[in-house]
Amino acid sequence: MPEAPGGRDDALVVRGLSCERGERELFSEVSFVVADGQLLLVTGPNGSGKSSLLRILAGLLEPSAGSCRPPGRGPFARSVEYLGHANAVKIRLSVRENLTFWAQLAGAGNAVEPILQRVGLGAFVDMPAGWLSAGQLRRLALSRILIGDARLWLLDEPAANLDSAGEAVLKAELARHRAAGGSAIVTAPADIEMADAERLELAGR
Amino acid sequence: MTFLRAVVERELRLYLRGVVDLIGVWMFFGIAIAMLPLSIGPDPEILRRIAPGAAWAIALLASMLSLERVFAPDQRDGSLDLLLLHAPSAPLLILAKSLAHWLVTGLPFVVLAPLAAIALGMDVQGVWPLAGALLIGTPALSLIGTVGSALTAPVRRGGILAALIVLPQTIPVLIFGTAAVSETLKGRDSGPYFSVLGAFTLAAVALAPYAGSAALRAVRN
Repeated sequence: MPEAPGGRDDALVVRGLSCERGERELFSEVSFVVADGQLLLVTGPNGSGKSSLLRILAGLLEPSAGSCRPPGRGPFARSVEYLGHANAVKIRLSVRENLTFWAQLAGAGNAVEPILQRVGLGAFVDMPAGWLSAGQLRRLALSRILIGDARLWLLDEPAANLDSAGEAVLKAELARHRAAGGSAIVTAPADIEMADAERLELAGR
Repeated sequence: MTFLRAVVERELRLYLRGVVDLIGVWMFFGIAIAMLPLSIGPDPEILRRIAPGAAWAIALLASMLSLERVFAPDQRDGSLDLLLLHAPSAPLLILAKSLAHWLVTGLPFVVLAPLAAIALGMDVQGVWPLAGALLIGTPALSLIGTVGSALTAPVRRGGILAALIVLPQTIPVLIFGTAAVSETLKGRDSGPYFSVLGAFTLAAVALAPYAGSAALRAVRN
């Protein structure tokens, strides 16, 4: 096995990753390194495997070949946060209860309300999450990423349903995260503007 | 431990927010027990003889009613991904889910056992054996049921399918649970039956979490 480049500070080293879903090869031999403070933007047409790539990195899906180090499972898992297409919001719980649960699981001890303020849900703290709009639900899902102290964020189309103010919040939080030494892998439609991001293009076939 | 407590608390909160479904389960238990004497007829001897088995069968069916609530909603809204991502180990998640399921669909039957014992003609002397056997045996039902729920997590309306998969696995619990109660009522030594029932529950505690996490991995990949 070839020695991965980069020092110990590399948040993530991915080597020769391939993914097959239902006999169809989505991508093969994908390799990249994401260092601390780096943002990797994964682009590509629909069905090119962007979401599958993130799920593999989160340890939720087995790759057909290749490896990522540190892997999603194991002790490292606690420092990964994953935002999928689904918001993982319980509509029967209040906004606060939703976030408090994930805060307990992340075990970071950050206060819930300041985070909700930051994503613009400060006025809805005790409202049932079922009353929120699609964009507000996405903001709540985003707050779940912020509540932990994860080093690596895996965000799958995080701007879906967000308005321009919401996108600004997202970009500000990404910048803050990177300034604190965290890294992020974000999937997005092909031509999104993101400052000083590395890019990975999945071709699709 | 933090994880276990956080998940159980959340599950209970979610169950209680949708308490109508739960009341349906509890009422199924109560009503089925109340109907049985009406359909069997007025002979108290017959009723007393079948009462332990009837109570156990009804408890078993009632606890299968809510299996769809265990994993399917979390699978649908994406929570299951994150629960697995944050769980110290996947078996611990299965254990937490089973515990919450038992607290809302096993423990209530123990509480209702006196009512069931009297309604089924077992009289006061049947109260403790029935409550005791349910207390020892129903955790196994929830644990085995949770494995079935894990197997059917991505299936639309998978509750029935889960029950069909699970019911055959619960037969030993049913047999020994029934025997424990009826042997006590006959005045014979029922200790061994209670012991075997307890052994089933302990075995389920040890094995079901691993079976459940293997099931989740298999169906979600």
